[in-house]
Amino acid sequence: MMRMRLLIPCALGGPWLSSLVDPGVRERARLERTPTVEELFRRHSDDVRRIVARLLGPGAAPSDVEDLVQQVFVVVHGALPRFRGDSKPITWLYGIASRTVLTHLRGRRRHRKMVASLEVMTDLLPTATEHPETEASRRQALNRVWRALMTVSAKKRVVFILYEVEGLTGREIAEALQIKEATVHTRLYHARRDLDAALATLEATP
Amino acid sequence: MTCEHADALYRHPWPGQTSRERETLREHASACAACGATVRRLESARRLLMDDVPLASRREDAATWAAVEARIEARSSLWRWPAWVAVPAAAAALVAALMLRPTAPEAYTVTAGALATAEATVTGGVPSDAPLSATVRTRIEGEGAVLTLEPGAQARLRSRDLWALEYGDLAVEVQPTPAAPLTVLTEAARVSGVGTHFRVSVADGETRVSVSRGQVRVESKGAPALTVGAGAEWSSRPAPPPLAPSTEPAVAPSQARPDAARRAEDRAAVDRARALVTQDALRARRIAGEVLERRAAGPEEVDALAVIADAHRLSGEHRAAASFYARVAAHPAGVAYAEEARLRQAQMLMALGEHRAALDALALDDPRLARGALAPERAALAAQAWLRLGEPDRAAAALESADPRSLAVQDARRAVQRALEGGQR
Repeated sequence: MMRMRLLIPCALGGPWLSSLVDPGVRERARLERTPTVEELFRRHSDDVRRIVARLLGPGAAPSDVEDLVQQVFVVVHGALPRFRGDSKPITWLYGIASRTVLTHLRGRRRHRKMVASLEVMTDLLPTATEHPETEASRRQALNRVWRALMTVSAKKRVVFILYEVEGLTGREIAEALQIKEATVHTRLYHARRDLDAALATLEATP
Repeated sequence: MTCEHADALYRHPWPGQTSRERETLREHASACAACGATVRRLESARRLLMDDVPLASRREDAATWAAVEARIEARSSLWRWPAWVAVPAAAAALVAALMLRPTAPEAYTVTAGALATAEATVTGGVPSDAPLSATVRTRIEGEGAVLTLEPGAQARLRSRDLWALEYGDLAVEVQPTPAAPLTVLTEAARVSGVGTHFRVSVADGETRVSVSRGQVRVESKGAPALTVGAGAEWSSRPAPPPLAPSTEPAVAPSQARPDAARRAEDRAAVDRARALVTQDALRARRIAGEVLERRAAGPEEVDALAVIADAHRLSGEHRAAASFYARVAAHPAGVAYAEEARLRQAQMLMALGEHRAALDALALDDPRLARGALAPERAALAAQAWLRLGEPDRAAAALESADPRSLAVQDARRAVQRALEGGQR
C-alpha cells in the first residue's frame, strides 16, 4: 500500500493527493534538494557581499560589510531547516541579507557616521574640473547620488536598490522582505520621490 | 518647479500599466521641463548605481568562511540541547555562578593601608563579595582604576567593574581607557563613569556624589538618569544641598536635574529639528536654539548643538559650523558623537583653508578615537590637510596604518601618489 502511495505524482492531484505521500519521503526529498550552508556560501558569497555593500552604500566601513556578510550566513545556518525551496536560493539569501542590513541600519548614530564618511569622500575626490578624467567625475556623481540616497529612509532605500539596481521584481522583493507586494510599490514610489527631491536640492547647492 | 504628472513618473512602471499609458507618460516627459529633469535625475542615478559594482574580494573568502563557521559553532554550542533542558540548565548555572563565586578577581590589589576583611588574608587580589572594611585610608588599585576607601568605610567588589559601597567614603579615579565604565552601587543610587574622578559617600541612608574631573552618570530610583559634571554634586535626598559652581558650563550644576517632562519636550523638539535640517536649515536651527535657551542638559543639549552645527554646515557657514562641532565634541555627554564631530569640525576648517587647525581637530593621537568607525576618514582627511600644506610625505605617513579597504583611504592614497609623482618631476 505504501509503495502505491509513493507512485502517485503530487503534481497531478490536489492537496489531498499529496497528503497521501509518506511525509518522511517528502522531507527526505526536500533535504536532498536543500543545499548546505557551505554550498550556499561557495556559490553566493560574492552576491551576498555585493548586496550587503550596495545596501549599506560606500559610506559603510569595510569591517561592517564583512561582519554583516558573516552574520547573513550565520542566520542562513539557523534558517536553512525552514527553507522550503519555494523560491530560488538567491532570492531567499537576498531576503536574509536585506533584513540583516535593515536591522544594522536602525541606529541613528550609525546612519550619521555613514553620511559623514560619504561627505568626507566627496571632499577628497578630485573635482571634475581639476581632473576631467571620466573616473573622477563618475565618482563625484556617484557620491552625490549616495548622499541623496542616504536621506531616503532605510526601508524605502532597500526596496529602491533591490528593484532599480539589483533588478528584482516587485513580487520577489515582497517575498524576500516578507511584505505585501503593494507595500513594495508604495515604498518604491516614495523612495523615487524622496531621492528626486534630494538630488534636486543637491543640484541646486553649489 | 514641479508638475502634476510627477506622481505618475514616480509610480512608473506600476502594476497593470498599459503600453498606451506608458507612451503618454514618455511623451509628456519629453515635452515637460520639470518631468524631463526628474527622469534624467532618476535614470542617471540608477545607471551610476548599477555601474558601481562593489568589490567582492575572493581572496577573503576562506577567512570569511572560517569566521562564519566559528560563529555558527559558537551559536550551536549554546543551542545544542533542547530548550526545555537548556533554559533551566542555564538558569541553574547562572544562579550557581552567582552564589559560588569565591575567588578574587585579580583585577584589584591592595597596595597601601590596611583592611579588616571577612578573610584576613588580603595581600594580593581583593576577595569577591566579601566586605572590605578600611581601618585606615586604603588604596585599591585595579586595571584602569584606583579606589581609595576612607577609614570607617565598607565596600564589596561585586564584579570586575562594579563596587557596592555600604557606608563611608569611596574616592574613585577611572582612567579614560577602560572599555566599560566603573560603577559604584549604593542603596540609593548607581554611579558610573569613565575618565573621571569622583567621590561617593553613604551616611544616614543618604548617598552623595561629588565630581572633580570629567562627568558621571547617576541613576536613582524614581528619577531619570542624569549626568553630573566636574565641580557639581548630587544627593539622593529630596532637598539636595546647594550645588558647587561648575567649571564646565556644559553641565552646569543648575542644569544637572532636568525634570522628565521638560526633557521629553526637549527631545521631541530636537527630533523635529533633526528631521527638518536638510530641508529647512534655518528653521531647524531656530528650533534647536530654543532648546538650548531652555537650558537643556545632557544628550538633548548635545543633539541640539549637533543640529545647529549641521544647519550651519548645510548653509555654507563653515566658521559657525566648526565652532558648534567643537562644542559637541567637547561636551561631556557627547562622547558617542565626539569622533564624528571632530571629523566635521576638521572638514569645516579645511573649507576655511585652516589646514593646521584641521589637523589639530582630527585628534589623531586621541586614544579614545583611535579605533573609531571613522578612523579611515579621519586619516584620509589628515592626509588631505598635509597635502594642502605641501607635505606629501607626512600625508603618506598619516595613511600608513589606515584601513586599506576604505574607499576614502584609497582615494587619499591616489592623491598622495599623484602629489609625490608631481614632486619628483
